Amino acid sequence: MNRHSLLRPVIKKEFIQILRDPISLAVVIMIPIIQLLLFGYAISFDIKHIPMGVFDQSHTQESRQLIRAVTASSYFVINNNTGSRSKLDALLEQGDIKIGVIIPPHFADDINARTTAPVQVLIDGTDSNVGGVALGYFIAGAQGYALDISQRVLNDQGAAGVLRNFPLLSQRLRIWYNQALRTENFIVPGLIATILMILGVLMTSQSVAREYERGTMEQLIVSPVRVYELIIGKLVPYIIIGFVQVALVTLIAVIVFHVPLKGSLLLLTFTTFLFLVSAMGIGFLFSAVTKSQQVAMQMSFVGTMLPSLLLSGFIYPISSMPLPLQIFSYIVPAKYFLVVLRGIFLKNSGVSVLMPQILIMILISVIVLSLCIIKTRKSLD
Amino acid sequence: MTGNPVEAINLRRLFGDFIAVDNINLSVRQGEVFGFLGPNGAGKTTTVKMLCGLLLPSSGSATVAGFDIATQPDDVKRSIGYMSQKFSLYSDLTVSENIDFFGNIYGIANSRLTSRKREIIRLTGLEGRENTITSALSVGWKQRLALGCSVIHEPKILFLDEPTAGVDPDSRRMFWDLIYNLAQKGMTMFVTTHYMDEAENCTRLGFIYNGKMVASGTPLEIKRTRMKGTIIELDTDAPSEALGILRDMPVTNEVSFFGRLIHAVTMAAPEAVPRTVDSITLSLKQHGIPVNRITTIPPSLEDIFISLIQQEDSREPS
Amino acid sequence: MTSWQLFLLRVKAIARKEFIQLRRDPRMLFIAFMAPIIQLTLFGYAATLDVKSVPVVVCDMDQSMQSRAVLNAVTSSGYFDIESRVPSVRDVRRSIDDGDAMVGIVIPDGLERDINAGKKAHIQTIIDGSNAIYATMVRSYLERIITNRALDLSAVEMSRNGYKPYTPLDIQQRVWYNPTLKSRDFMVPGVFALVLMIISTVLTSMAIVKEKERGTIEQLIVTPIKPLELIAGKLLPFAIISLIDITLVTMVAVFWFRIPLHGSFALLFLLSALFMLTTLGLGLLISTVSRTQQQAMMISLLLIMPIILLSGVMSPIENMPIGVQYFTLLIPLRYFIVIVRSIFMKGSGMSILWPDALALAAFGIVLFLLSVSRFNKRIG
Repeated sequence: MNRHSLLRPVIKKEFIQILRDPISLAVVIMIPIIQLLLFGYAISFDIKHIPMGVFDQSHTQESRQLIRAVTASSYFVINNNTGSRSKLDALLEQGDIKIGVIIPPHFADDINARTTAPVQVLIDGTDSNVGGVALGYFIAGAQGYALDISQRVLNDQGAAGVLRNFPLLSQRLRIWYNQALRTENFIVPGLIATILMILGVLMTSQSVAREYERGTMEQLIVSPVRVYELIIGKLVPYIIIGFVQVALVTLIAVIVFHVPLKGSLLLLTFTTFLFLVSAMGIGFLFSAVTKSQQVAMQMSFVGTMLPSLLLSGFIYPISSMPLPLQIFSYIVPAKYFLVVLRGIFLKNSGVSVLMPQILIMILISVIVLSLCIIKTRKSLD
Repeated sequence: MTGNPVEAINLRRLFGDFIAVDNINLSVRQGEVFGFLGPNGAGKTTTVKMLCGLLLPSSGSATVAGFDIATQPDDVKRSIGYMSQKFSLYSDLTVSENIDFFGNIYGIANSRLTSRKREIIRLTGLEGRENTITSALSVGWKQRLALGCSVIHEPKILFLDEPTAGVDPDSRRMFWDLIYNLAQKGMTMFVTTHYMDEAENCTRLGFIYNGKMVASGTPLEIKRTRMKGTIIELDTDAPSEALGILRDMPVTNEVSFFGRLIHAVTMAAPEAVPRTVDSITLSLKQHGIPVNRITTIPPSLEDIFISLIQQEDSREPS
Repeated sequence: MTSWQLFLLRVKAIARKEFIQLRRDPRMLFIAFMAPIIQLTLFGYAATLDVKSVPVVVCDMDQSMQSRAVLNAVTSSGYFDIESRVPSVRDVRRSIDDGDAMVGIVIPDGLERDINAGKKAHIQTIIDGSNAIYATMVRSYLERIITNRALDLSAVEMSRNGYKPYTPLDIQQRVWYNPTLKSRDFMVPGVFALVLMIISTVLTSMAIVKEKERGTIEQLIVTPIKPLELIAGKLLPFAIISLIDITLVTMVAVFWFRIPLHGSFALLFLLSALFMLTTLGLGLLISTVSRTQQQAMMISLLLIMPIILLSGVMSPIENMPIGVQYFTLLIPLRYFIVIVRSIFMKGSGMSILWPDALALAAFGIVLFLLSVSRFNKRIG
């Protein structure tokens, strides 16, 4: 029998329901914009202006030169409230300074006598990231000072000829994709993937679970609508909303945060579509399994929020994680979309480079949608 | 202050521009079963919610058990029981747990709760179902449990908002037995319903339509005073066609279906009624519509309310 | 019955009812107890910025002792793993483009010849900068390794020419609280706080709105129960669950992750409970102001993301714009993060933590009172 597709009416019904609640729609569209603006500005991992305390017992030109060499970089801000060792310790303990430098009284005498002068550095290691970077900056600055002194000494010994070729080994370091290491360039694509993942799963899971709770889902399932039409019809409006969200956040990323969009818009559209299908399919599946808004919501929260923030490679590199967790990260769709977004935005990656991610997202979508169909069919029995 | 358990004066409630309840006056006397009638959306539930202290009136005032509903809502709530049209007990608790819960909320505990619970179980006939999860009960049993929970604290007045909606006729009858049972013990009952057969069971009635009180009194009073004209009942095999013809006849004022029968009201003087009946029969026969039976009957409450509604509607053409 | 007895009776009735309902819904129980444990275990491992096994692609065109010495210096640091060796610079580029390697090292032909002749020699290094934080750290590690190698070579060259190397400074570094600078010791307490916050907010945000949607709230508000009694009764079971959760996640942190708990467990427990008052209060407030579960969920979502990202758990508050820094003062999690990290890592006591504890108490009370006052016993 020639059967009319019932896709259109299902989509239409869904749209009517969405448009009837314009406030929720506005909220759903505004959330990613507000979040992107807020977090794009607020989150910065740049480590600058580290508070430093110096307990200078030498009070000489030499000790001041050392401090100047260290602070020239503007990585440190000096806290002068350090009249005694115990005061320095207290500041460190309260977290008012992250790094403490103790210069001994005989510092200048040692330097002038060409003996090695001890300098003590105390680091607050609670935030290992800040602590490590602070230590690195300090050592680099102090080494610069030491190099000056030793070259002066060697020059006095007539070693200028040898010194001319130093350092014997150096590296020409190039940073690709994000030369200036701008935090925005990496945070903004990460935020887009995370926010869309969370919203996509939540929106669909709620909308479907609500139908189950109200009993309208059963009504739809027993109607002549085919299960795949039902699922596609349910997803299409939300995918369109998802596209609106992506378009807006992309505009903000480019215009407000000056994140370069080097790659192809067409590819971005295509991959976004794949990602939205997989995320929203997961939302559908959650509610088809639980049939309860409350449980679906909790699953969505637990299943999307922290995994997308922590297991997608957004901030924490997957290569540093233990192997089991690296394996686990393969089922986090945001992980693939993140690679795609960074690739398209920053690297101008093409289809060939992103093929693995594209294939996996297709695979996830197919699996998730098939599970949806199976699960929805089953609820008929 | 009068001694009446419920006394409302010019009670009015707006939702935006919509007037849900329009200057209602009513008083309910001690120990009576007051039936508050009206079609869906007439303002019954809004009125009950105001009287129970769930909604503030926009204007007007009311006292329930001698307490002002606007200023002493907690005293009102202590004195009343309330059973809503939507089942609103915890369906994932057992029968016994629901009773315990509401008992505690009303400050009943220990041995008093034990004895009250026993009475409630007996009253509602829920013996043997104490440990059943409420969601497993049939609608009728759920309603009995809801009634039981709402009288756990022996309220002076019990508000029942459409208590029998969606309940099968057998359970409805049993439920009304329960209502009489409580009323005999001196509890004042305030029941809303849109089942007209239930209205006949009430001591007194109030009829609300479009937010306005259009009639009140005992069923007998209402039947005597509010029915103008005589009802002619018609049994025919072609009711739809017959209805159209009757509506076009000048002798009949209000014509409506009554089940598969037709009720027509005529304003003719009593002695002229037989002539009207003859003219109807003739007219139907001319149109080829067979008449199985045509008689005059005493009005039922439903006839009266249909008549009142039609009068109301014709007064305010919209 | 005195009003106090009545209060207790009603609070107990509500709490008992909530417990029975929880017990009958095993999915909720599972979420309440297992979700925090699973989350902490997973994310305790995930949330690490340690520079570790960074994948490196190498193109060694010199294939000499010196080039091997440089590569050896890179890998023996323990931070870098050589993922692949490729013959051409083009392959290096492809490997980084594909994301297989994060760092590329190209050693040109003639490195050994130059070094042995006492001439300047260069190697080419490339870092994928798309993760800017991580790239910054990787760069500093890489620079330190190459500089050290250069210094070694300089010392050799100097002694070959008969000069005595002189080291003017001896930098004695001491790292407090976390001597090995492991980020896990820092991040696990952070995730500890996150997990507690999410579970308690999510559980309670449904507490009242669920009754609104099911219609059971109507039967409740027609009783003489007071908002305070209802809210307190609703809070109690979730507070107990939260206390159990605190114990569970502390055990995971201490026994599974071996995070040293330098401070007192009693204090950690007490202040965690104080923190939970704010999250439960927030959840209840969300629940009282929402009309549907969906709304409650949206509001929770809208609030939890910024709370996490602005609390300082992932990025230092000092780095945020000054206006945002002031804004973070309104986030209870911010104080709790300080408390958890200080108790775990520094062994801090109340003498240091009292301002944060005070802030939590204030937030808890305000949120609780707010939800009591927002809970309207009328429906229209």
